[in-house]
Formats: sequence, C-alpha cells, structure tokens
Amino acid sequence: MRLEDIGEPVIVGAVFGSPSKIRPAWFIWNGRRHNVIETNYTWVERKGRTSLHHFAVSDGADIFELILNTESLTWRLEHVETPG
Amino acid sequence: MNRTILHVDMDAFFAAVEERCNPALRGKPLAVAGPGKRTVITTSSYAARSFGVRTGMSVGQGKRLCPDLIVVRCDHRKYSHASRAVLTVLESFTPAFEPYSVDEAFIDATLLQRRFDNISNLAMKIKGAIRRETGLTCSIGAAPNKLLAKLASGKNKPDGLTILNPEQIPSLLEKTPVGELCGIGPETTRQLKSMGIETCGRLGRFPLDILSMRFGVYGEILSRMGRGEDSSPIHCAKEGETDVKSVGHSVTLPTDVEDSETVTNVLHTLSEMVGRRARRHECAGYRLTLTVRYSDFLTFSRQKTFPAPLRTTEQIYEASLMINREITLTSPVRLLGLSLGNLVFGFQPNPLLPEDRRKEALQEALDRINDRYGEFSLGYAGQIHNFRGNRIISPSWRPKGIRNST
Repeated sequence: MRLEDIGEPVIVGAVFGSPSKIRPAWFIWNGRRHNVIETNYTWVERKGRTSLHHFAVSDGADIFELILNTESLTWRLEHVETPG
Repeated sequence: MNRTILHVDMDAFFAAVEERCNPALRGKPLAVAGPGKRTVITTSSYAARSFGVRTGMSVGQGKRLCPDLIVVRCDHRKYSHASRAVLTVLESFTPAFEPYSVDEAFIDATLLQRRFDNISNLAMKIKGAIRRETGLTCSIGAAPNKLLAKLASGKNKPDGLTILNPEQIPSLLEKTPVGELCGIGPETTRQLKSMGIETCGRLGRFPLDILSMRFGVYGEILSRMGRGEDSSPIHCAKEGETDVKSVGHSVTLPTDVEDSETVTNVLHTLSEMVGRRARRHECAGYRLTLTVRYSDFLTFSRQKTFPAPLRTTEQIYEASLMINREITLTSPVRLLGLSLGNLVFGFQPNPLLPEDRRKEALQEALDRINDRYGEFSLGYAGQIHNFRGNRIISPSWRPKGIRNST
C-alpha cells in the first residue's frame, strides 16, 4: 500500500440524507471523474468550531480520503492510497 | 450482592479501524505506527501478531519478523472518533460504565444483566451492537471484579467472550502468570520471580509479611491480586472528572536534540498545550513536573511547587524554564513532557496589577481565536516549527472532559 498526501480541493457530488448521513457519490480530481463504489469508513474531526467530516471511499481501485468542511462547505481530497 | 463486571476490549483497535477504511488490508499482516521516522508500532493486526509483531517494537524489528508487514500511519482522529462511537453504544445500555482507555471500558452489569436474563445474553447484545454501529469486533470478559474481568477478556481474542464464575477463579489463578494481571508490570514480575513467585496462585498464598517487607503497602495489594480480589469501583464517565490529578502532555522529538534552544522551544509548545487544556476546564496547578527522556531511554522528572497556581501559557513556560535551568543534560533528549499537578478546579484569576490584567486579556483573546479556528491557529512565533501534528493517543485519553486532549 502506498499513501500519498494530496490536500487539494475537489468537486464532489454527494447525497445529504441527514446531518449524520452524508454520502459522497462521485468526485472530480485532476479532470477525471471517480465514481464512489463504497464508503468504507467515516469520522468527524473538530478544528475549533469547524467540523471536518472525513470519508474513506473507494472507486473500485484506490482508496481516497475526502474531507467536507462544514463551515466553508468545501471538499478536499486529503490522501490517496494505492495498492503496491 | 455479588458484583458482575464486564471488561470490553476492542480487538487490535487501531488496526481494525484501518482495515475498515481500506478493506484490502483485511486479513493481512498490518502494523499501525506513528507518523515520525522513529516511532514504534502502536498496534498490529492478528495476522501480524502471528509472526511475532508486537506493540512497542520498532517498525524495522517488525519488518524483520514479517517482511510482508504493511505499515500504516497512525491517525488518532479516526481512532478517537471510533472510540466515541463504541462508548455511545455502551451508554445506550447503561450509564454505569467506565472508559478505561481509548479501546477499553468496564461496565457494572450487576443489575443490568437481569434485563437480559443472564450475563452471556447481555455480553452478546453488546458485542452485536458494537459490531453493527462501528463494524468492529471486541472481546468481553465477565467476572466478579475489574481485575478478573480484564484478565478474562484477554483469554479468548479476537471476538471472544469469557465468563468467569466464582468457582472457576481459584483454578484459573493457580496457573496464571503474575504478569498477566493488570497492574503487575515487568519490573514487579521480575522482582516476584526473584522471590520464587511466578503464578497468581503462589502470590496469593505467599506470606504477607514478606511481601510487605519487599513492596511496602503495595505488598498487601499484590497479595489480594494474587487471590483475585479487587474492590475498586466503576468510575462512571462523568464522575471520573473529579479523579483527575494532573494535566500533562509529552512529545517524542523527531530527532534527538542537544541544544538548549530547541529544548526551550518545545517546552513553550508543551506549555501552551498543557495551559490550553487546564484553562478549558477552569483549573490551575501549583506543581509543575518536567520529564526528560534521553536517547538511551533513561527517563527522569524534576518538579517544583509554586506559591501561586499556574494557568497561563506564559506562567507555565516560565516555570518550566526555572526547572530546566536546574537540569544539566548529559545526553541527547528524545522526549520532553510537562505536567501540571496539585490542581485547583473552578479557578478564576483576579490579577491586581495592570500588567497582569493585560496578560490575562491577551491569553483570553488567544484562547478565543484558537477555540474558533483550532489549536495553534494563533500562537507564539517561536512555536511555529513545533506545530502539533498527528500524535499517538495517550493511554489516559478519554472521550469527554479534561482527559480529551484531541
């Protein structure tokens, strides 16, 4: 497994069910659309008064960590984990 | 009434959370290690453990034992979130539980078990609820006290359930090595071995006067532990706050340091971390302890008691410099720690001098900004290189209150 730090803003299409049920459906990174096949794990981090919702998602090949900043309503791709 | 205590112990917790994040890791030899180059393995998966990979080993040691070992960078934010989720599940069963560490808790099931017919049903319901809510497994031990419940939970891992009935306890303890009991560390185990005591059974029968001569008041506690006796109560999550005796932080440095400038710089950062936590919980401390660990792991502490309680970052920093000036470093430093003790709670500063009032106002303003934007959003220029990054969770971490340092 190889973990790469990215830390770039990304465009995400997400389904907002309820405050605790946010499901990223796809995201665009480097001009390429990645469909989220599975959300493996989610967790929330507090930074001051801001909540950062982390999503470990898979596009079927790699694992991506997306972060939603609930203060600015922006998404960021934090890490990519690739096999090998 | 006989007590029934459950000890809930998450299985290879950090590794299991990482496996949840990346299912491709499941079943593979996996180790979770700190973010720095020199940190040790904090948890390993059961597949890795079968190769002999253990907590506390260096990553290099682990790789030598298991060349295919996958090392994942530890992310305490994930684990503390998962820990809170587990404790929320426990809270849904009873308020009578005690978070013991990030991945362990005790539950007083004395009355609770009646609602579930028996202890086995209750334990299985708890295991099921934890798995459903978090996707993680745990092992549970049930026994008449905390000491034995903790011993029991380790008997059948992972995903196990061990119920110790009172009549089974003497035969179990007869052959249990003393080191398996919580509270008997390697040094005590070594000392007991030198006295010919290797099992709990022998410890429990050993003449008390000899144990007391060797260990002082701890001798009687050891004797009781050997017989499986423990009357310590469950410290419920909310009550536990009053038990806090100190507020501290320590940091393992990225490289060993010898120069005093770096040491004082780190002390400044630690002062801010300790002070922030103390101020958030409206406490101040009369005693400050500075802990130093050399590169050869020799560790020592120096402490000083002050006439007025320390609370602001500046007060703690200046006090730490006073202690540091009395220490002559003889080796490169690997770890530094600061701890505020002799605490007073509900402390409200009331400075008389205008200069002190200005300092208080500055501290308050800094705290408000960092409350709003996150830790170290605004701080002293000298701390900029010591930005508090992703750390390992301290064993004393708690999901709520003063022990919650995340």
